[in-house]
Amino acid sequence: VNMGIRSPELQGMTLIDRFAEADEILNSPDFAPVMHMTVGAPELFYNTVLSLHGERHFERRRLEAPLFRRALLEHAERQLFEPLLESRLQILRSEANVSGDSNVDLLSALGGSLIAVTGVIVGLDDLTSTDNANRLRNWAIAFGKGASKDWSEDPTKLLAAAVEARDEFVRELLLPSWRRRMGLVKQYRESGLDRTELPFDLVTLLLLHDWPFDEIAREATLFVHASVNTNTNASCLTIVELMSWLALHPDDWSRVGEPSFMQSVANETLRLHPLVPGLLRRATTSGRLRSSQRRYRVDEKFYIELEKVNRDPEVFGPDASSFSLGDKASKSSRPFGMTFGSGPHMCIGRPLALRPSTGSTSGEDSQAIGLVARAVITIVKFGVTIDVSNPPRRVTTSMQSSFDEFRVQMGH
Amino acid sequence: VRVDRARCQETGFCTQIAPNVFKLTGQGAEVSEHGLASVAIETIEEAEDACPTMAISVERTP
Repeated sequence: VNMGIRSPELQGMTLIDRFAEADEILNSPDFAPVMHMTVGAPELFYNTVLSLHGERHFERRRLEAPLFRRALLEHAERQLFEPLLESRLQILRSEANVSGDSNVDLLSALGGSLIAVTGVIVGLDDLTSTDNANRLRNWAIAFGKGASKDWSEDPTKLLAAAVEARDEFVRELLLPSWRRRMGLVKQYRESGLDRTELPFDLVTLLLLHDWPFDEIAREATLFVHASVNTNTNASCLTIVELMSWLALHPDDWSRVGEPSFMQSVANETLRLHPLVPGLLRRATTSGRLRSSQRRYRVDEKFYIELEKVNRDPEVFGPDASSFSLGDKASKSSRPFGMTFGSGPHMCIGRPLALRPSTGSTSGEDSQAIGLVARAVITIVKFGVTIDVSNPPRRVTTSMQSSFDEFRVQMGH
Repeated sequence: VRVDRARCQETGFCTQIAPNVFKLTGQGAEVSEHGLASVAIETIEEAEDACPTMAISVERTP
């Protein structure tokens, strides 16, 4: 991976590589998000929950938070995602048995299963057809490349492709889903349809608050991008780290079905491999950071380098750069470092991706543990191992963590 | 209603939603038992849902 790719907009920013400074900036009301406001992809994500600041951000989070309620996430993870992933893995295994080649690409099975959850949360119909699911996955990949264009080669081309994908997504999938929900909301308001008969999803929620279509489309595009790309990449990275760990600690094979063990593996993976290279902030006033006495001026822009912040030895010890399931991660209240952000902007989708561990060691635990940990537990049950002669292929034209191809050996 | 002090970063979301129940102390939010009696359970649940750091947990008894 070319770790030096940085757009001209990012090159002028003040770099932050210490955990304490990053934490102070992200928790202070005096620093506003920059991503998708002036850099990134404002064309796609301007004024979304990711890019708002202050009171407007609080109101948006408050509005959307019920979508991530525990009972809903438990249903999405255990009743929808897990069986769907199992059935797709079963198909992959059958195909491997027929062809005699057990080397398979996991990306479509994983991404396709995550798409179903995205559909339920966002409010997108007709995702049961493989064709629609594949199209949404491809659109999501394009959104992701556009969102991270400032860390990628050929940013203009990536952004243009993302905008084109957004237009197709809105026209072909979102609009029909929006129309159906618009009709239901009208019935609810005019014909006495009970509230419980309305879908509980982002589009319906925003319609109930009289949002115009173009603003619903922008928020829905963000949710699709965030829920598909980040969870796919996080699951793949966790499999890689898990397999490396198990090669050195074979006794831990007995723990791979334990939710708390897999949550620890996922946390440590995400600490070492943040899903975005950096978080960007702009000072709304002049002042001085308490944690370092660093002075800053109004409108100064900061680039929080997540990989460095997450490997700060002051917080994670002298071996902060190595993968370990020992004390350094488990004792921290944020074992994933700042991969999900910090403070008021901590990722709204975090409970969907990875819930805090309850310490459960039961593989049959009915509670949600997060799609990432659940995905890896499910995949490992199928005897998946990494073929060192044909390892997963990372995207090399971007600093963003993602895979072109994730080929594994499927067990029998 | 419990607040995990280790996770709480005092974003103030809970105090904006339920000011009678949650107070910021500088070392994590605190729950006022007296305030709890004066608000609807839905308001407490909204604070639980909205907490960005997932520091609030509400145990429901039948």
